Amino acid sequence: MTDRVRKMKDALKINKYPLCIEQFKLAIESLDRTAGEPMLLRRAKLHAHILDNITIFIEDGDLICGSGASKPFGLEMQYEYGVWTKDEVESLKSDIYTIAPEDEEELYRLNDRFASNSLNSNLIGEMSKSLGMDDRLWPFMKSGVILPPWKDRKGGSGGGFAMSGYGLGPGFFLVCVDFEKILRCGAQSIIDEAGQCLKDLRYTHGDSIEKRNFWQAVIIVYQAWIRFANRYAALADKMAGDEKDELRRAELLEMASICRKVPQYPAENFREAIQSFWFTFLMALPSPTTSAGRFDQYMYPYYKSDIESGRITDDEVVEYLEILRCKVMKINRVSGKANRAKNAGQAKWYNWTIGGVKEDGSDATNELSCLILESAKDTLLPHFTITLRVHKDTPPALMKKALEVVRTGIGMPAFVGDNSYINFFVNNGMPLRDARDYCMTGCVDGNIPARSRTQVVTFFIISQAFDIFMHNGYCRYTGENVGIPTGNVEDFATFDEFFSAFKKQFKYLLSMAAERNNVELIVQRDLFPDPFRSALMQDGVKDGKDILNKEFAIENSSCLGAVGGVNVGDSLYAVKKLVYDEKKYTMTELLRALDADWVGYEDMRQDFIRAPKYGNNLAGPDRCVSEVYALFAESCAENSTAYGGRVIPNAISISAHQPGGAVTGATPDGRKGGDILADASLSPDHGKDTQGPIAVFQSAMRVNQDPYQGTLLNMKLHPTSLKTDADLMKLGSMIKTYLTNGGKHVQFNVVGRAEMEDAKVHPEDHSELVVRVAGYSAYFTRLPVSIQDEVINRSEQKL
Amino acid sequence: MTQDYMDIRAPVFNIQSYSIHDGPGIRVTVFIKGCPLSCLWCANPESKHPGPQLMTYRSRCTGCARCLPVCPKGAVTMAQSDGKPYAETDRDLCDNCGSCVPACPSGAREISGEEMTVRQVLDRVLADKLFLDDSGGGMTISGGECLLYPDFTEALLCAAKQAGVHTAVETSCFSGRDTIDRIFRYVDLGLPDVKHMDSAVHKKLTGVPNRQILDNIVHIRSDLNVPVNIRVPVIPGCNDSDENITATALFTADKLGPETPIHLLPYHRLGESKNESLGKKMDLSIEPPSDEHMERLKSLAEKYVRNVQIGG
Repeated sequence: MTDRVRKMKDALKINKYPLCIEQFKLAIESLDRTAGEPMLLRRAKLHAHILDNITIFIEDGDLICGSGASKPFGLEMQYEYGVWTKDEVESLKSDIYTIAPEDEEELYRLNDRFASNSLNSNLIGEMSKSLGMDDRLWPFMKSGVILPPWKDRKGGSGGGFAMSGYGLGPGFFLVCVDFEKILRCGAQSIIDEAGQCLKDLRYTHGDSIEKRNFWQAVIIVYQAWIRFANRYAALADKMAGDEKDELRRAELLEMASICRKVPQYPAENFREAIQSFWFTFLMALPSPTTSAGRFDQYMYPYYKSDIESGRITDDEVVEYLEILRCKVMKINRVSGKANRAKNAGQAKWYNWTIGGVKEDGSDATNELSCLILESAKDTLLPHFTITLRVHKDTPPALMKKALEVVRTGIGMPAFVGDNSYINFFVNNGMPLRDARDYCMTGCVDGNIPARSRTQVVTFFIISQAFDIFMHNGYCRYTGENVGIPTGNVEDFATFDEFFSAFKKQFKYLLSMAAERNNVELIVQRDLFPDPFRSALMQDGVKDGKDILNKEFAIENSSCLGAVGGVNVGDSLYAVKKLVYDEKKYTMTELLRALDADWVGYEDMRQDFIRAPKYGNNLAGPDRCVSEVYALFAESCAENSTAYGGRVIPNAISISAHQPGGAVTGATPDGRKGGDILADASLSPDHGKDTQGPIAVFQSAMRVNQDPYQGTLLNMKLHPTSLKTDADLMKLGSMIKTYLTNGGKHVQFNVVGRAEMEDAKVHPEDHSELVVRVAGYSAYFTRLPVSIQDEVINRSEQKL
Repeated sequence: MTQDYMDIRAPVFNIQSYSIHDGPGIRVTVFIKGCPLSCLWCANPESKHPGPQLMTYRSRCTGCARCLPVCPKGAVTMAQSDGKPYAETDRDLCDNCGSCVPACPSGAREISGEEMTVRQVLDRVLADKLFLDDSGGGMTISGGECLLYPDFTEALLCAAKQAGVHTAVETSCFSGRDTIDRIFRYVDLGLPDVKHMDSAVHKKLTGVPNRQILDNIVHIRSDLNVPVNIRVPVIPGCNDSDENITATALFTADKLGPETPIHLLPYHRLGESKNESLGKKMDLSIEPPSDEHMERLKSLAEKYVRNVQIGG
């Protein structure tokens, strides 16, 4: 680590993150001025107004211009989303955030003016009209089958968002914009293309005016973006003029000249390319999930030509990458209280995908893939996230390098399998060459850069759906009927009858979850056009359509996230074994025990706990889990989305297995009501795997993962299992076997139990302890106690 | 050999998947129960006695007392430790029947050792085959001492070879020559222990002399042409003197060839807690060797042998 990076890294240790209101103020100013105009143009002008006026600064030693907010480490209160009430702001202040007193006063004034007609209140209003006020859907919305359960008919109006970044929200769809195009062609080419489209426009179709608005909007935003970069150029020049230090002055002058060139024009070397990338990245924010796509691929030509011509060294490249890590560490996000529980520990997924195959199927690894890993190993910073695409020809040396990073305990990279991801896209109709270009656009949600997009997942709590089935449509959590009558479970003579009835109930509940997604999609389409990101999709300018208003080559616009699948699979197997096969208990006894939360049925509970469980390479329970995931995938495919395609199944729980467990009563796997569910989606239930990591992988390989946009398997390793190079090679081999035989994803926490226990008691001594929660790594000491315990209790695999 | 060799049985106390320190690649290690040696430091004390044995884990016991009424011998009673109740087993009364195991809700009791057929063991090995093959690994038979069960061991090795699985054997090599010849026909890599070069000291430490052991190792390497890695458990105060390590390295270089690897395995304390679980006390208290000491012994051995590593 260079001195420069060390200083930047040290500066990251702050106690409070400032909440800023500049963007909110600028947005309202603009929206006031543009009242009555088409939403596309209003949003473009709002975006331009922010870019022209927001406070900018260049921090000490920084070599890349652009930060995420008007203050260092800042989070801008978002105007698109819910209103920050006094109560919510107070809750933030008691957490790790701070707000200047005058800003807080101003925030409440802005709220008063804006709250009733903000885009978000319109969104909430529409969702409430469709879901909360509907007698069929309302009991479902509060049942806990999807999270969060609504408390009143107005739904999720509580709490807003504060985030870093200069783009437009909403951030909750997953997409990777065309970084390569900006690097290669520059913003001016997009302005020119839109200009030509306007010239060629003839009013011949029903959407001609909409297209005109779109192209005008694109020009407004991209011109403002170029001005924004030039503001940095001017600032750097001015700072250079005041700079005493010779070297720093030269750096600032170089930064100024780079910002005058990119993103307007094509980048011609590594330094220009990384600056152009970063400006683009900041515009794709705010979002908790902005993807950097296949960074090692599109940056490689600039790296290679600079190295060959001696313009840059590997050490200098690593320094740039490490600065990038520091900068991404300062990009933050916070949401209201309810959401904070769902995504623990400043959840964020800024995912850099490396490795994998090229379009022709050959290995895509290059020197940058390794340098990106090196930057993580050297700085030990948990962001940005790195995901390594693994295929049969992934070089063992790259696996080893990746595992050296895993060994440090920062929970990354995650490993994903090319086979299963590429199958997913091909089976959805994507050409093979395009499918091979997939990247991570969230935690493990695959998308093709510029060619596909996914709407935010709604978590579907399978265990709650199962409980509703067990009670013939009645929801124990709300005490009212939510499902359809599928029969009294005591009356089913065989397990097959029992399971068929479950399928019926499950499909009914899942179709309502799909409806809920559609309502959000439809409402967002009208309210949140985003010309910037739209233009950076394939044919983004030519089509003249907003990103939320068109169908992509692969339409995976809406997906549902499965939570609790393993608990339900284990439960099904226990029922099959103990009630139907061995007839040790009757269904009536089981229902009584579940309704009593197992109290008074301890011996019976032990039998259900002891029934074989998923994660031990046992065909019985593994098949039940596999059937649950097959049912989920099949049910999703039966539901259409507002964008014409089908609902896509996803299986990543993030930290929803905690609130999901909280709403679900006792289950036949022996779990008590309210207890946390199995984490991820393919991890065995806590401590239920006793046969080692290969058995876990074999169990997971029994689940057909190809239909899923992403699956998660978390594994915890003790540091002693990764001591020697030979250990790493063997672990690397095991990972590769899993990921080339149906597995989609695995990630590791390497940390000793004793250290984590101690960190709970003495958080002050372990402020740097990083663990992997779901798709993201977080500081352990900032996680809620329930999640801390869960991380500790994930089975530790002693290799 | 007829097909019923698949039904030959031996007591097995553990089948460890993803073993990474018992030979090349990822391995499934099969631990056989029963051993003719009595090493003072034994890391797997449950491997000594061939029959099933009850193991208890005090830290998991919640003191619920469910195991008391189910014991047919009345061997379990409640005791107190730091004010917390726990179930104590009178080992003189206990006949290792295992009735108490299913009664325990917290997994504090288990029976170590079950008779398994070659077929059962092989199925467990083959379950991992995909992972073994990709890593260049295979099956390792450990113990205990597999040479105590030549019929079973030979059959298992032969069946594994037929299934295309690489085979390795961890052994004391304490047995007659015919057993060695029968077994090592099917072994790809031998992992014999050399515990001490001085036969008298060897006898004191393990209960048996070393002449036959060393002869067998040379026979395996030179006559049977099976590659071996010499494994030396480094036990402070027992066999970690400069002279003994030097003598071991000299033996290896002279009799087996300087290309034969030596693995120096530092003593660890796992055996102590296992003794506790078996209701026994360890005879001596040993501190694990320091990293520096291990490095020093490694460089001593490297004077004679090219490939010396710490750990398996």
